[in-house]
Amino acid sequence: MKRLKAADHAKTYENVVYIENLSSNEYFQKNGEEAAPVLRDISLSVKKGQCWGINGDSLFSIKILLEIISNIRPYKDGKCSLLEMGMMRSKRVILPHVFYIGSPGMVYNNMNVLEFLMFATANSKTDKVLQQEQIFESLINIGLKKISMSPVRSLTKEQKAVIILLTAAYSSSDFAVFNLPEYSFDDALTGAMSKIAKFMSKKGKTLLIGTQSPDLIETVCTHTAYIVNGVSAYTGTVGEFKKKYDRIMMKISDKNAADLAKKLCTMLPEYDFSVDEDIITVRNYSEEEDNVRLVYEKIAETGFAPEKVKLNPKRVKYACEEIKRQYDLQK
Amino acid sequence: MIYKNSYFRKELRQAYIENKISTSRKLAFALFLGMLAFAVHFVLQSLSESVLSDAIPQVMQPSYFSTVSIYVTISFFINILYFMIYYEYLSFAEIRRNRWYLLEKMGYMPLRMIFSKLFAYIFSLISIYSTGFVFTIILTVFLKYTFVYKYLPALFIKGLIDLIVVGIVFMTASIFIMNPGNARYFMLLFTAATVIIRFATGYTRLTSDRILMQDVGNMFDLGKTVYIPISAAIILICFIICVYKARNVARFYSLPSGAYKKLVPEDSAVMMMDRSGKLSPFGKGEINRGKIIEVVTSVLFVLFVLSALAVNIFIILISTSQPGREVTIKGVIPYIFKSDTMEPTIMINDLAYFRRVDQTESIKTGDIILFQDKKVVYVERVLSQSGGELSVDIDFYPPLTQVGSMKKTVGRKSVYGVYTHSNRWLGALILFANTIFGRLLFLLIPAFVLFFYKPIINFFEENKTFEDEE
Repeated sequence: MKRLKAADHAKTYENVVYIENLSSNEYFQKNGEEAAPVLRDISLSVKKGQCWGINGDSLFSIKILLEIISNIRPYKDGKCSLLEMGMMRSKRVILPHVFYIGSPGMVYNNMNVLEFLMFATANSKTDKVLQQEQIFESLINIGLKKISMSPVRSLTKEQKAVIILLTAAYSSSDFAVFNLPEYSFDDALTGAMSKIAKFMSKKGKTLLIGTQSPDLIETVCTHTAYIVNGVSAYTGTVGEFKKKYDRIMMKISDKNAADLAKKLCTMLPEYDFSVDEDIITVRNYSEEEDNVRLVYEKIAETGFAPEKVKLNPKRVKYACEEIKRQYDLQK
Repeated sequence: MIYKNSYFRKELRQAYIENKISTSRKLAFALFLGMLAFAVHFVLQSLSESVLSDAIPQVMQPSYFSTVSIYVTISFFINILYFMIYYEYLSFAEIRRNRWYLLEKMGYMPLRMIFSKLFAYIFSLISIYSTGFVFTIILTVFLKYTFVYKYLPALFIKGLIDLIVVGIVFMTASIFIMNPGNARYFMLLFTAATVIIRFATGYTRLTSDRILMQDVGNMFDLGKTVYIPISAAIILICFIICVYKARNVARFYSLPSGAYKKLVPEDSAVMMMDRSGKLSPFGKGEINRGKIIEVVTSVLFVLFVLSALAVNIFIILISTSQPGREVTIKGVIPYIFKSDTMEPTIMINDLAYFRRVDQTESIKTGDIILFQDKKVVYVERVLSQSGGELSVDIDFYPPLTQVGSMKKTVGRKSVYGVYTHSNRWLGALILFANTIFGRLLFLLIPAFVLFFYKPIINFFEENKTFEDEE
């Protein structure tokens, strides 16, 4: 009965995770320095159907934050609620509507991938033949056909983690937490995760991914949070994050990059020009919108004919670098 | 192929990747146990003229009781080893791997999984054990021993109870012990404790008695042994704990121990703040415990290898010792006594020790001496002595031999050793070491341990995180 109530409750609310001024019980201690909280004043609001990528400068901070959100680990101060219900006192108990993925060891090594997925979903009332067809099709669709008949024990830990994520997508849990920030996923697995995330979103499920991979956030997530020095530096959509922090406008390649940059600096003082070998990176730190046309005009005025000019499509990777740079400057 | 595995069927498969493979492997395992028991029976038969015939007559006699008793014992220890190797699949360790957590999310009921797991394990155990038991009996038929069926049911029940007790205790322990390495140490300790309890309660004595074992009721007779009620109580208590605790633990997410180490920057340490606001190191206990276990394991391995090497050297020395050119270790001549002529003081195949003596030392009447006469070495007892001459004779004349035929007079100069004491067990060990099986075992084991030191240590330690083990 309790289980049913929790599941029903999950369907009622839009706010899946709500955190306000949360601080952790864990502290970083550096030699001769005062202990600093691993997490401090973190605020976050995750809505139903969203896919969040929790990023930051410390893997440990990301891991701890997701454990707190999943009710595994106690926290020191602040407010934290899951589906608008307060956290339970008995920690380590993950609420029924949360599917927590914290290790790749949750799968059985003595089965193949398709068999494991059939075994995990054996309690569904679907006809077994049909069910196997559907699972096999979804493995093909997400690009994991190659490993569908491979024994689980032969998979990499990243592949296992993705298989568990797929299992979470089939589960009745409305909220999945993928807390393996220390793993790096190749393009094929990132693609698979992206498709699984979309599938989950369609079903109204929420996904929280702990990662330090900008590419993963770029491909999979709709929202992101960035934690620097234990403090939440950004929370919001991925698009807004890129727009706000990726200040790179374009990259200009030229043999005389240094001379060209010097000239452009005087002509466009509102822009930042940095040179790395033959490449000039143009950044816009002003509040104004990027004016690409103006830069092109000024390049023409200098008389230089650059070999290549590449516009930056705004990337999470650059945004992450920039946000980290800004916080390092504040230190 | 449509995959329709239920949890029970998955459990029956144990560590194997397919149901068919699992069935054939289990059958092969049962046959292996039977054949191993048979091989050990043959080895023991080659040691019949040693202390073993007195110490463990139940397995030394050429009978069904011997072969089946050996099977029951081997089955007990090999099944423990099997459990240790496949701990991951057979025990409740999967709860600590959060596999049940995943299954619970997918609609599986923990209570049903607990029962399925226990019953599947016991079912597998009974099928393997029974198959091996029958196979051993079939093999013994070829030896044409007198078939006594009366003690077979009691032996069967004995073996089964032993296996179920250790199995369920290991299962229960796996719910509490997070580290597989620690669980394996516990298994070793519990196995030793079981053997001690069996001795202490008179169960070993009872089950070694061919006459008493012809009546199954004797095993349950509280006047003879209380081992069976103790076992029943252990099984019941463990079953209740399993059902209660496993169900409870399955609700929790188990945090992998030591998994955070690689997430923390090298120049930082992580501290935890307790309720009083005091900071203490995060996960320090785990690291210290891991180091202690590592040191203890390494020391035990070094001791094992060194003692195996010492035994080997000793055996080689004794084996190369020849009459007239005996090896002397610190003034003592060890001698494998290949005759029954000095029984009961020195039994056949005993390792007898003789103190090397020179001409100045006096020899008493009644001493057993080592001497050479016409280039042949003799061991006899001094009956009397006059001047430089000793009258000697053997203690035991086998039936149909003329008493006094070995009596002789030897000069004092021929005597070079006086008997001090003998060791029956070392004698049996050397006898065994000189069999082909023994030579292989004593030479191979240290070599094997030295070569596979690292994997064996890892198998026992496993202080790694769950992810590392994957």
